Amino acid sequence: MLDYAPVKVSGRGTNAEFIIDDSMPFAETSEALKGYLTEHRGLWSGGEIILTVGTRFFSEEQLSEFKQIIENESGLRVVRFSCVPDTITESLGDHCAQYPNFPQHNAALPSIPTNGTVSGSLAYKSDESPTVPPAGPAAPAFEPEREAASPASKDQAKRGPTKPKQGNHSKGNVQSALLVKSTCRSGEIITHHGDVVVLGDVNPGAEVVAEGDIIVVGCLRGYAHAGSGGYTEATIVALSLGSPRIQIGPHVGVFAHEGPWTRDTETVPVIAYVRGRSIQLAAFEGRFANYGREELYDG
Amino acid sequence: MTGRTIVITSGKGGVGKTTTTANLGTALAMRGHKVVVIDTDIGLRNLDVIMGLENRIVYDLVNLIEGKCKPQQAMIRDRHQLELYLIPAAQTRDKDAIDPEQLRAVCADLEKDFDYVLMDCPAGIEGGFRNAVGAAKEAILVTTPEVSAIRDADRVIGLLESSGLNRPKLIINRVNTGMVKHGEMMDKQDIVDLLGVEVLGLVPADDRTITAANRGVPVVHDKKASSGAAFLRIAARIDGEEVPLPDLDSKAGLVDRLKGIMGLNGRAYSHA
Repeated sequence: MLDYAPVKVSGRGTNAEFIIDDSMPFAETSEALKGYLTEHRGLWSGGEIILTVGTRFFSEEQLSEFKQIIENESGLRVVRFSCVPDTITESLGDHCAQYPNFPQHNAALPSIPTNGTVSGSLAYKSDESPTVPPAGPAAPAFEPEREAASPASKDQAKRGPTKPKQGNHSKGNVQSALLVKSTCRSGEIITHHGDVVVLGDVNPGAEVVAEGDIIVVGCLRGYAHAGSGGYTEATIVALSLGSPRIQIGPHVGVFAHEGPWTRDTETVPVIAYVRGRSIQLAAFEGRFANYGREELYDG
Repeated sequence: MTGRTIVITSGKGGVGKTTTTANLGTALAMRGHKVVVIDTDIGLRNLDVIMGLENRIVYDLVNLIEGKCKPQQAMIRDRHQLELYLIPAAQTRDKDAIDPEQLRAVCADLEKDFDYVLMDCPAGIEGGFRNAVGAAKEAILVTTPEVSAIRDADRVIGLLESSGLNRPKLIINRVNTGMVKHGEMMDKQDIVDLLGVEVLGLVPADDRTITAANRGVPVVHDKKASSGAAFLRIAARIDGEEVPLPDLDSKAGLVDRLKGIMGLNGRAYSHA
């Protein structure tokens, strides 16, 4: 009974875990899950469960669809999504994103910093309280519809950027930074609910969309959109800026270039920020002390 | 014997994948290796024409994969090199006739008998590309010093990396040294800055490449051709020999290679 592929259910004491096969396409997986639950309808009487998704990447919509299926077909309540941190790093290969505080399944929760953010493929944040006690698999309650950040990675990104969240755009609401240790090549999209740091170039045809700031330790030649949730105090910093178009919040900056290829002689680090309603560029000299305290960049 | 399966790809069409495959195959065979070249451009085969073996085709890659012939029957021996064989593509079928697993099985079989299995990849990033890339263990990327070819190469490097072929090596084809000197064409450094990969070699633009292809004799047989000499040097580098890049590009070999390995370019470096 417990070998109903691609969905497996394992019991651990009073807790149950749903383990979903990594290699199945989404549509088949959700069908199989529905089938499993319909077949074993009598088995569940209520309670809380964890959903382990393995190494695959789900969008926010897909995760909430799973939650819907489980909650409608059984009396269970999905309290947490979980994935396997080691395999995630592997599947990203050389250009793996760094997930310092990756939420581990069946492990105690990492202590949550006071600004209320924990990064990861299934990042979540705690509005409730900065001191959520390290608890067993059944706590804390975690609402995927509201909270589940879509995995910010190149693999996920092929499905296109997730819709920016509406509402509060204060800096404190943004997830922690995503570190990309590779060149972003043409056709690759990086989307993240927070700051993005790229250690490498962003080549023409690549896109970086971040709800926070974007820092490119290399040459930015692709499209960059900082503050995608509408946060206009976001900035874009790059060692060299050759993009035809960048965006901060709702403001778009377009640069005139002579042609698709010019030799870059200008190699000054550049910061792009919003002043008034337009995007300004300045040589970045690191004078950021007063930035964010009602004062714009003073460089 | 375990051979090396290398795919030769580019993204953009017309940059010289097929010519490169024919010449590297011939050059590696001239160095004494047992080589088989596979044309995976099903429906648009032309590696056989470049190698001058058009008239000898009886069976093709699709026949082999469908089990209608033995590998020995599908392999055509080259006219000049005794240890060079060609498996031609089917002309009457399309890319969906095979899948990556089938091609991988064919390559795994050939690796037992050959030192090098070179695959000529079709242009584009669709089914045919996925077939060839899925079966390969190493990748060589061909580009010309044009923005359009380099944009496509950048995209292809991303796709190669996501399918596990890390650190593809770059051949810059049709370099016009005169134009580079006048600053009218991208030079090696500009391309490395953008793509951040190791350069395997530069092939100068040479009319003899075209005449050789028309005659069905790869240009490496032409002792006077500068492009032929370049292909021979590239074959030596593939073989693991240290051959310096000649003339204007000899300066920054090791540093570039290190940067390429780290995925960084010069600019990122100098400011880091």
